[in-house]
Amino acid sequence: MSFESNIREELAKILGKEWVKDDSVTLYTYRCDGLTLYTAPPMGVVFPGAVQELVSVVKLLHKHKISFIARGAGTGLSGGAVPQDESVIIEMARFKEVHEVDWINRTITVDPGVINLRITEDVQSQGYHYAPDPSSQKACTIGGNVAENSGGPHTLKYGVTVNHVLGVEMVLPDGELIKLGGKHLGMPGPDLLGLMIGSEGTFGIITKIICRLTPNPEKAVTMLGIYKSVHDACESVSSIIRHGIIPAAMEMLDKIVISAVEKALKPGFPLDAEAVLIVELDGLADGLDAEAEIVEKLLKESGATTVNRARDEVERDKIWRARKEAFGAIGQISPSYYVQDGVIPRSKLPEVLNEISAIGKKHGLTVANVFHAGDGNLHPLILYDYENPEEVEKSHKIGEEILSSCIRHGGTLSGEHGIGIEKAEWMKDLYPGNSLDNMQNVRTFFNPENLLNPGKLFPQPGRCAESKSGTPPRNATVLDKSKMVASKSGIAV
Amino acid sequence: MNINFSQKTAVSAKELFRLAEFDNILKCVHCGLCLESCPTYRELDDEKDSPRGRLYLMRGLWEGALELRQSVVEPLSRCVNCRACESACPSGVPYGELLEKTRGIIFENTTQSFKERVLRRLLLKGLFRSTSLMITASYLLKIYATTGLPKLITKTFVGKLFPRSFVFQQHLLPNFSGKSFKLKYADEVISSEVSEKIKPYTGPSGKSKRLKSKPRVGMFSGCIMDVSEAAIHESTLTLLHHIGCEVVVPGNQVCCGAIHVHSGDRETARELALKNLVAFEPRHLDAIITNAAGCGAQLKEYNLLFSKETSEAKKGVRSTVNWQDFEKKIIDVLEFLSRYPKLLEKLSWREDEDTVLYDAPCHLIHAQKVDENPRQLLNNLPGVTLVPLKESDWCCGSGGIYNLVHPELSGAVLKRKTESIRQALTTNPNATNIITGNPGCLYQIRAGIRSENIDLHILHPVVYLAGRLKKNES
Ligand SMILES: Cc1cc2nc3c(=O)[nH]c(=O)nc-3n(C[C@H](O)[C@H](O)[C@H](O)COP(=O)(O)OP(=O)(O)OC[C@H]3O[C@@H](n4cnc5c(N)ncnc54)[C@H](O)[C@@H]3O)c2cc1C
Ligand code: SF4
Ligand code: SF4
Repeated sequence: MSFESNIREELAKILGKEWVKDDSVTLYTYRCDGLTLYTAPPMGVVFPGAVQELVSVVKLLHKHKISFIARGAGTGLSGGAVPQDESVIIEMARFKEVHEVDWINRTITVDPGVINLRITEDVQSQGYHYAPDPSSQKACTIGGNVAENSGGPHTLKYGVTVNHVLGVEMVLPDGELIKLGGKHLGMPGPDLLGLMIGSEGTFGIITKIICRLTPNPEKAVTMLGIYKSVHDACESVSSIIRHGIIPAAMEMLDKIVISAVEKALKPGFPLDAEAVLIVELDGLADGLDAEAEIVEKLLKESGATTVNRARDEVERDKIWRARKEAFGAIGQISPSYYVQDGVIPRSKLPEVLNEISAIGKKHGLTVANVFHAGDGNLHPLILYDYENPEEVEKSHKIGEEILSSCIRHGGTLSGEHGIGIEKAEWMKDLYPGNSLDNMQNVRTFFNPENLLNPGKLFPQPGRCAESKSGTPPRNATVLDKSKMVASKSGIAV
Repeated sequence: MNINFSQKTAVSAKELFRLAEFDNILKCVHCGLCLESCPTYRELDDEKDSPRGRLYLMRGLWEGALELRQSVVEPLSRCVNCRACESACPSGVPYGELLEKTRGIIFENTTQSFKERVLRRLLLKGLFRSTSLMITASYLLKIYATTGLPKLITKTFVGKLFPRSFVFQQHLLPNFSGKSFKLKYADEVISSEVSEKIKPYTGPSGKSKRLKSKPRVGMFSGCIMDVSEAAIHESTLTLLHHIGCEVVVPGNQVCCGAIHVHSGDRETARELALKNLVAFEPRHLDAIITNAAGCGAQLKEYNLLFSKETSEAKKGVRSTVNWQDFEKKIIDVLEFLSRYPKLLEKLSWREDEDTVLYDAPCHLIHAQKVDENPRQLLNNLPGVTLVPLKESDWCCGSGGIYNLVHPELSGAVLKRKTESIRQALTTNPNATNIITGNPGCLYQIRAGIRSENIDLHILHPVVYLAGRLKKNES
């Protein structure tokens, strides 16, 4: 597919010929995002360079009833930026200006294509940072973060994107430019901004974002608890929370992940441990050491054999690098892996982890775990061999069973990677009754003709749901088995 | 650039790639963590011009979803091969290796336009391969420089008569010497008098080797570098002497072949690799010193040119050489020097104050993963302050002959570099020099600061280091 010639011409009039592309090679590279399992080429890709251009493009596509979708860095892991129904991709990469830093209100106003980490880099010399820190932060865009309501290891204390975005400017699917929120907190009336954040790019295209800046903590203490059993490590998590302490981050790595990161990055984690727990405390220097003493004591009481403290920034960086690049490191011990993303109540951690390990055993595959323990946000990594079709099949079954288990234990489908196309069919399981209809009604309010990012977030009518995560989305080319396996399944942390 | 070509063979791209040991392509999980590090993607904002997109195209060729068409090849040729994406990638994707293999397949299996062919024949198969031609060219270009023509073109209205890229190329011209460094010192073992008792050099692997009182090292002199910027090699020699090395400059060494590998001419590169092996191998060296980041990176990766079951193997060029022994001797002069901090400390250095910037050559930081050493060497110099340069790990757009093939894109990348330099100068107006350890980058950045009238000198680190020695020392 490509643009019809009159559409191409009109687009070129708005953007200039070089920013309207529908050659087969461009379409090929835009057919998937961080999730390579399903691919679907767009009708074409346009590259607006200014808000006014974007508005004109949206109006034009709306007039011709052609569906479209915004794309940030394409690091999403649920297929959010994969076009369905041959939508036109609106590439946001050219929107990368940082507009204004307001030190008094502690805000920064940025374009949607600005990279998450860029904000922190811009303000750190003044002692500030942007708190949501997805592990993809050196690549993903703020626009994508807002769409997915992204979080990261430090979400435990600081919250997710929705807690750090004060206002947005956005283009509705008919081309109207609106503003929600502003530099101040709190707006009377229903929280439209809150609705927008996390709508996975189905409500509007964000064109400007006012982000909140967070002062850097005066001091941070990073500790590493070492355990003989995963169960004990989970106990430590509960124990800390029970004592009213909110660490900045609490992350767990199990034995398999430890062996992988030791191979790749050598952070010095003991190979004979069953689990390690990274606990970071931060805040005012006064009292932090005392708090660290308490945490150390709690960790030991709940079963940590040793607790090490990072002595300096170098050691601290080592620990965090091992955590943030853990998924990549799995490549050292397995030819492929499939990452799931589910959330459970913290109290259910030991139980669900046991269940996950049993599910893996039942199917004869290993499941490794590295996750945001403090939030109960699991990232089970199912290890398989891409050259073995049977194992591929099994990895998908395991993924499904793990998700079912999360839901059964009162959890949910995704902690941070979103629903996208990957889990759209699962929404029915999560929201029985009419909640789902109500949500769809809200979307219809913003996006009445479903022209913006169709086929995402909600189940598609008339699609069979027998194998949920394996259900091919409409118009998507599902790769044949051998290729699918070779594609791995995207990584995430 | 217009690369008009058609596929020569009837063999599908898939089959060609299967023969090329391309399995490492599977390491790419399409996560995108490399995107921000790519200088060409940041200019072009198009997925197919990103490292992830380029890898996806290579994978498409390997899987058989794509064929070798011009539209597929173009984004791959727009890559400057800086390998910044390799440093950024958590999955260890060897981007450089994959790109170079792909370019090899493109080079061998497509027919280029007439202009391309002539250029390739003249430069790759001719000039760079032959020492005598190189000396002649150097001599002629030296005369050209003394005529004052380049200055006339860059500094006066005369430049207006020529296309912009031609004017810029005048800035790019190296300082040719008209003489060959390796022939000057051919095969002498140059030993130093100042040598005090020093710890024997233990080899890059760290294992204890030949325990002799002095390390004996070979110097790699390169092709263009052999006949230009004489100060770089001479300073290298001086510094090596000061730490008490015996230095050998084999007269029969040749170009490293990087330019060939980058353009896909692996056959010539293999020929050069074997010649260099023959030149250095018999001399019982503890280390082979390079002072051009691009050459060092290439010499360390010769084995990749001779993979096991390749189409190359079929043609009988399967190598029986164990390249490991050769490759592990290759070491950049800056990394080598920083192994001897005590000896360096003992030398008598000038103490006058000076402020400098350091720009990391891509093939030193990304391909050879050497970054701390040069910074430390500079920082440790008495009186010298090293001030930060934003994006010093960012490409300058030189890329071997990339700046000649893609002048516009290279110019845009260079512009970003000169902007950073300008910024650094606003905060540190007393900075006198920018220091970088690769001749290609040196020419490129020099051209950038000259054409933008930025008041700064540019030097190779060894030249700067040698210049900081008190006169009686050097
Ligand atoms: C290695 C790795 C680690 C990760 N770690 C984390 C993590 O720790 N936490 C986490 O939350 N996520 C994580 N992710 C997932 C991903 O990075 C986030 O979802 C991120 O927010 C996506 O941003 P993006 O710019 O890549 O958006 P894309 O993938 O391009 O798009 C995602 C969605 O946002 C929409 N969108 C993009 N820009 C706009 C816009 N301007 N207006 C409206 N809609 C828009 C798209 O239509 C799409 O639906 C990880 C991914 C990877 C590959
Ligand atoms: S090259 Fe590495 S960083 Fe880039 S997309 Fe592939 S795996 Fe990710
Ligand atoms: S080598 Fe450099 S230019 Fe090429 S894809 Fe990697 S980062 Fe981009």
